[in-house]
Amino acid sequence: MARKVLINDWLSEFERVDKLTVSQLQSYAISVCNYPDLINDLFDALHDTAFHEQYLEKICDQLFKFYRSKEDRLRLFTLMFIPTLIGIHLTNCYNVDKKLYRCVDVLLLSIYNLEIVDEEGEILNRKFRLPSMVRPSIFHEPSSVSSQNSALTEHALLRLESGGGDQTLSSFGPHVEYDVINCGNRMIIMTVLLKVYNHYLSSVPKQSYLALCKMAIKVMRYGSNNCNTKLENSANAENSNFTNYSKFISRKCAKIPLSSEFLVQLLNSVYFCMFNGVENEGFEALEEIYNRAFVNLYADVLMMSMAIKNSLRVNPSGQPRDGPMGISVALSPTSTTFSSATSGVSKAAITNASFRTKKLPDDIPIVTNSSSHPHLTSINEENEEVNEKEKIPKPSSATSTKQASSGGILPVNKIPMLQLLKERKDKKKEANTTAKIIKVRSENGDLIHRSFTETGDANAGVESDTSGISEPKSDYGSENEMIPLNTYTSKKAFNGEEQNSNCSSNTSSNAMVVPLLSSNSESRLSSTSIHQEMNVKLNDEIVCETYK
Amino acid sequence: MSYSSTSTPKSKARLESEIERNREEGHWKRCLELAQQLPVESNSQLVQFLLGETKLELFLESDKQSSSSSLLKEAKKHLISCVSGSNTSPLFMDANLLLAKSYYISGDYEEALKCIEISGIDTVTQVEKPLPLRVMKLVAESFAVRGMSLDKGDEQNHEFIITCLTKASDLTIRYLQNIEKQHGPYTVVNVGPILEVAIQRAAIELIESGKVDKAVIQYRNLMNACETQSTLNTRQIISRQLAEIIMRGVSKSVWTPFDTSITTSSGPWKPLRYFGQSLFVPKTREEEVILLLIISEMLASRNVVLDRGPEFHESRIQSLDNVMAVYDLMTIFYTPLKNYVYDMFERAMKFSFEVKHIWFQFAMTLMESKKCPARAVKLFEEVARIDPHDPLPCLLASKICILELDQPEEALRLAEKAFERNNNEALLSKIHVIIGMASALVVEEATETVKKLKSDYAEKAIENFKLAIKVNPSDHLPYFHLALTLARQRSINEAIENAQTALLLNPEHIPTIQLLILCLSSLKQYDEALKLCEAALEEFPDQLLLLYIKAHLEEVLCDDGREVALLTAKHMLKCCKIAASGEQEKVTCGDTVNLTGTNYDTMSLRMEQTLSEVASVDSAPVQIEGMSITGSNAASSMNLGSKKLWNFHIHVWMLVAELFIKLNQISEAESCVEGASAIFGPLSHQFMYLKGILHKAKGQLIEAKICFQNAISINPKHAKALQQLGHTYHLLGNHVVADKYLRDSLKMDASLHETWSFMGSVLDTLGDHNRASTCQMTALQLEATSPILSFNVVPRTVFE
Repeated sequence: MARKVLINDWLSEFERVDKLTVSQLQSYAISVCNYPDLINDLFDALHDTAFHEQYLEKICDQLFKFYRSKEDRLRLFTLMFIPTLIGIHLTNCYNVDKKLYRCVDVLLLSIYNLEIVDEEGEILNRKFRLPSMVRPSIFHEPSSVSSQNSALTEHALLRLESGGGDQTLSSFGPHVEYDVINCGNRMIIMTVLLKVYNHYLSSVPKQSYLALCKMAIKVMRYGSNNCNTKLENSANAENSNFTNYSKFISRKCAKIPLSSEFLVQLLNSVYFCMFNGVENEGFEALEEIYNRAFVNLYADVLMMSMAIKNSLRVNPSGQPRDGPMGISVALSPTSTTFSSATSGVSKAAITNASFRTKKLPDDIPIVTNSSSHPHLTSINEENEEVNEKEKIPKPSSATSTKQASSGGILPVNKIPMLQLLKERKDKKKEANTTAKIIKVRSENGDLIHRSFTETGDANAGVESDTSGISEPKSDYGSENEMIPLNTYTSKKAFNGEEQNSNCSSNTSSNAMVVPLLSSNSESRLSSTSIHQEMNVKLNDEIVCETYK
Repeated sequence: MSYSSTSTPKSKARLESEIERNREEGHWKRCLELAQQLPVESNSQLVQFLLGETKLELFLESDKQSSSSSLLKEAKKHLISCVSGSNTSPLFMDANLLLAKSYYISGDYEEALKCIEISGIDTVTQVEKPLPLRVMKLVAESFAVRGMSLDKGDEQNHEFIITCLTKASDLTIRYLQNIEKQHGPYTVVNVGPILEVAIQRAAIELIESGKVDKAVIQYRNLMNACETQSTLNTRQIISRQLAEIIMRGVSKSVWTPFDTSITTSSGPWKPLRYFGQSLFVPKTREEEVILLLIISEMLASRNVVLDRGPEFHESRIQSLDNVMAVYDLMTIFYTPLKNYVYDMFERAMKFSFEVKHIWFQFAMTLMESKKCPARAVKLFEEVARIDPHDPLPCLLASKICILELDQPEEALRLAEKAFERNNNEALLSKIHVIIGMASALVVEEATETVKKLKSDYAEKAIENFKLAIKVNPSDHLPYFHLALTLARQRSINEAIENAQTALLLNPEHIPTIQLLILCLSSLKQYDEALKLCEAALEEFPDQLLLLYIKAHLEEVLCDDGREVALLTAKHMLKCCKIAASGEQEKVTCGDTVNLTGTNYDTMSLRMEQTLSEVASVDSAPVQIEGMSITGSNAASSMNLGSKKLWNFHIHVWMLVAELFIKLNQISEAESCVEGASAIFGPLSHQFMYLKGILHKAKGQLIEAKICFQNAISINPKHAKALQQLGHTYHLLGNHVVADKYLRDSLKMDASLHETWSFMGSVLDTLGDHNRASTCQMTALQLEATSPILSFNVVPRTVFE
């Protein structure tokens, strides 16, 4: 009853709000926003379906009035209910009693349409510049730290291509105005509303955080409870005939379809709330969202929720319970051991920064023709041997490209591997020389080889790094067996791609009989992307067919 | 360091100066050795002081504080004996401060405070004046110890504590900057844990007292100070923490830009700062967080230990965790911005051997960036190798194979691998769906495979969809796929039943709605189909495929059907234009545009691309046709989504042209084809096909034949072109060749009843009446269940 009284009082202020002067409005806004009992009651009323019939429409009206007032605090008052309102909307969009919930739709849609425009009514399109390490900022100077990190990655290339200017990204908008919420735009509107809510997270009262997490959990779980018991019974009764299930399916089993963009924004809000007092509900919501992403294979949501989970598990980033915002004194031991690690005991350890790649001699001794033949054959034999080995667990892979691709990923057997890898490395050196020989012998084979190296360049970022790593290690390996054993295999496994291209170049030069036609199409496509390389085979088929 | 301790004792002065140098640089072990060489009787206070100091510092350096606690005790003993001498000694203040430090470490905060009081440090700290380096450090430490001791005690004066701690941190940073100035760059000085903690403590103190805004300012102040080699690790932590605070505590509504006025505050106790007009100053919350994270990532990744020897294991894991924490924050921050940056992961590969988390995140980032799907698949396979029990990487790879790479066989292999390793019930249904989907795609795309194999795959698909339903009957997806498979096999009633269940579970599922409309149309219930279509368009006003179906329905149903359909087509062209122009609209309708659902369209698009590249190489001067070349080059640079839209656009033009032909307005149709081929290039097989139709309608059979031949030479799997070619030959009187092409067409798509009917009449003319009648019968049967548009238009690659 008390709840009703408070809400009724609040609703009766409905008329008054309009007539207040600016200063009165301000003081009224402050008093309303600092009235936790009222806020709690309103949340309860919105959660409690029994109240909906009587109050929902009035509350929505009043909230909209607040939202339209010129006082920012009143606007915030409305914004704090966005998660709850979204929850009501989503759980009732198929409700037969749709009329009752129309007021929520109207409120949400009006907030949406007003939030996507600026004061002049222009569609908002907020952008931000993507900072880069290259440009000095108030927080860093590029010269000292970034020099070792200037690898020419695809990203770096992109920046150069765009003229070196600031790369800008959109942080909000542009969004389209809508007249009505329908299935086609529901998720878009809700996602934008959550984004807006996220902008105000620090300004809304904490009760709203709890409401958000509860909404997330409720929306995620919707439909799953209604179905299971019935279905299990039926499954026991009639095991074989699946069509019987459809009898038990009702709309109540339906889950609420949610887009991955919506889930990402929801996760964003949950992450914030988790560190601001609603730890347990936050974890629960995170788990629910993760499960939904897991089952639906949403890579973006998975990636983000796994990042959150990992950062909660691995300590440096702190836990919600470590203190406000997870920033805590707990890091002082890490900092001490860390600094002593750099200055003290492990000075000998090779770090990413201290690591230098050794340059290989430019000239590789040319092998004479007569001696190259046995080498050449031995390479091929061993290569095939390796391929054979790799083939055994995967009988399905038929084409040479596939074989090569699975090759790099197979588990590496450590003990014989070292030996094997050394051999491979030697081979690699020889491969260069053999390539020259092939060039002399056949233009065709050379063409193929070149085309493969070109495609490899698409990955230049990684490969230029890795080729550097693996080379000097081998020298190291002979000096000290202990350390490099691991590193060695690691680099090799990781070098998979590079080796693949070598392997495949070998195999393709073996199969020099391949008609000129296919090699042509390969070299033409190779420059565009790996993606196409994968499909070269398919294209070849077509070409062959056309010529048949 | 070759000087030996075996030779004659060094002169005292030399010894002292050496001690002094080592003290300054923090080589405490060496200090202790040297101090022990000092004659004890000469200056006992000094010796006591030095021994106390070095032992204290050595204690602070040691990792395991408990085992070396004797060091601390000894240090205290030395210092107390030093202090107990005359209090006029110049060492008195220093010794007291050191004593305060040691009390602080052992937890005697009150004693520590007392010592500071006795030391008389306050007389030095009245005015901020330049101090010698060593004194500077002492003063900084006194502030730090005082601040932190007060914090541990009952003192509630947060303001004072914070002032102490900020002074300590300012002084420490300036001290390090001064050292670097004196000794040159690359000198690394270890200031000890007390000062390091003090640097961070002030801001944490502010957060704990609820002043997040002040804490942000404090952190910014720290970051704004010019870095030195000695502060790099601290800066790494601070930049990450500031990013964390902004992400977790400062939403856009309360974020304020960096106040550049602090860069001008200077003094001997204030750190040197970065300032200047050209510096990048974050103007938005996003910019600041990203800047901080990339700085932190840069610094953290430098320190990752690459050595894999067991003695480095702990520090390697720790350094890896440190950098992973930054990666995670980046992912958390970037994902909602839809900014997928994978080059940091690329760099991380150097130290990520067997680290599943980094590989997995790398793979997913690459997948979402939609840049190199084939590479993403390889990464997922590596993740699957690292963790042989996780089905997820296999499934995601399988998803890419289906959605981006058109490799259903590979997808099937991966999904089956996932099935083998899965023990998660929630995922089981999905795995069955993907296995089924991949099998169905193998059947639907491979037009050449042996019949037996085909039916095996088809059975497998249906079986898996049913299994999926059994495992999780409340998911709409298997019902949809089952319905689609059934519909393609023309079991229309069963298909409708399943489609309805799917819609019950997810009333918004567009592919199911589309399927249901087509099913209704194949039962010849055009009215219901159109009604459903219109109802669906209420909810999805810009859904292009629905509009496309609607146009076809209108054509047969309405009075002036073709005119009405033309209007719908016009609306579609408008939608296409909007969708192509803006990014945002793409979400509304471009998302689900998948008109053909067959892959040979994408393949032939690639073919056309290649051909146009040849054309541009071979016939360089023919740049008058530049329009077309740029057109198809534009297609090559587009991503998959816009390629589909592009493809759809072509189909709309074709629809318009066909409608004109049917309306017998040949000239309009002609100009339509010409106009469209100017946009899309003359090499499009769809337009060649269309021209063929046009010629055929005009009765120019020879030209028609050439056009159809051109079309199939680009896309040999175009069933309709083959069909029309066959028919044209038939009309031209060459029945044997007609028979051949019609057979080819049936091989591609046996569900076109027109082809069967043409085949029948060809066989009839050839005198093979028996088979002719069988063909006509088949044509009739197929026609009875033929939908308004082929079921192929309903996308098969549906994951949600």
